[in-house]
Amino acid sequence: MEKWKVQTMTIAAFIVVIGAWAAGLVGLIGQGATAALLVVFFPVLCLGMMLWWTLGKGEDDLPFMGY
Amino acid sequence: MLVELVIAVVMGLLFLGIHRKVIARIQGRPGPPIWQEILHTLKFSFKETWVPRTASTLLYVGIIAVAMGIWTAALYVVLAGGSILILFGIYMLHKMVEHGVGLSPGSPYAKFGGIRSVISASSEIPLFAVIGGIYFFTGSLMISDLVAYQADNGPLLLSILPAAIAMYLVILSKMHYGPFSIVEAKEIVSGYQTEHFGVWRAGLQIGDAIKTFVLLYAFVLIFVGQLGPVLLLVAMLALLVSLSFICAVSPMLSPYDSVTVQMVAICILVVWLGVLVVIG
Repeated sequence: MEKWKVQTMTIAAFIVVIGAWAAGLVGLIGQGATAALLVVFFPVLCLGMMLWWTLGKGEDDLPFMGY
Repeated sequence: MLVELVIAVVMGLLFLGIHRKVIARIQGRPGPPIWQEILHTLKFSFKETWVPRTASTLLYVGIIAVAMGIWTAALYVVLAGGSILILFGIYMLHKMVEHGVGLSPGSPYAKFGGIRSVISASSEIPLFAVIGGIYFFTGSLMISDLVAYQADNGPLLLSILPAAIAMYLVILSKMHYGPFSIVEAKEIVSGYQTEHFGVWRAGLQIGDAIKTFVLLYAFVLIFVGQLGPVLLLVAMLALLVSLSFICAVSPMLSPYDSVTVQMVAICILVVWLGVLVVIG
């Protein structure tokens, strides 16, 4: 996956997560809807934040097949 | 819920660190500092990361998001006082995560871990004893109802001990370094997680942290009842230390023995529950 795609996805996930949390706090959406959005976008945000700098530096490799 | 989620991640990682520390101290080793799992997750998240050439990319990456997502949902169920059927359904979905993580990279070691997760399905059987026992005695499977029931009648831990032991076994079977942890045994390197490195491993660590927090919290809510923050933390820590003690003093069983021991244990618990039902 290209870096700009990951960064765009991360920013979008960040906006959704913070937006869902804030909307839940002020009562714009229910707690169930907040939870549903977090279930989908929290993992994307976590992976995206961690991949922000590291993605694309290494080449694909064969897995460890034993000795 | 975002604040609770972040707390669950940090506390869960801390619990995993305490688990390792307690095991080490019981075994006469100094062990890592209790914040080691937090440092591990941070370290993994800055490691160079790519997808192995033989991997199914969608499954390899997507299953990590599933691991975090399902336990986020489980946390909501517990916080909202939802049904333990949903909670245990999510617990069973975790089997799919172990299987998917194991099969996606194409490594034989990870694959063995994934296959072992299927043959260790016996670890889910005690859940039925928990559900049956709780429903018979309380007439509800909603955590909020169970909390209210215990406020009036005292902890379920005392009245349906076999169901509590069954859930304890369920949690034990998902703890690292436990007697039933055959999916990540060292003879298959790191089991189903062998080929998930760097950011992917950090993601699995986060999922593990939320899972540990949710299972300990759910046990306390279901069998002890609603406690204040400090008492809740103490109860969760006591539960964790008891699990760590068992992990420290018992060897990891072979896959065959692991399944056999769990089956025998659940048979005993079901008979015990049956006796309680007849008496009660």
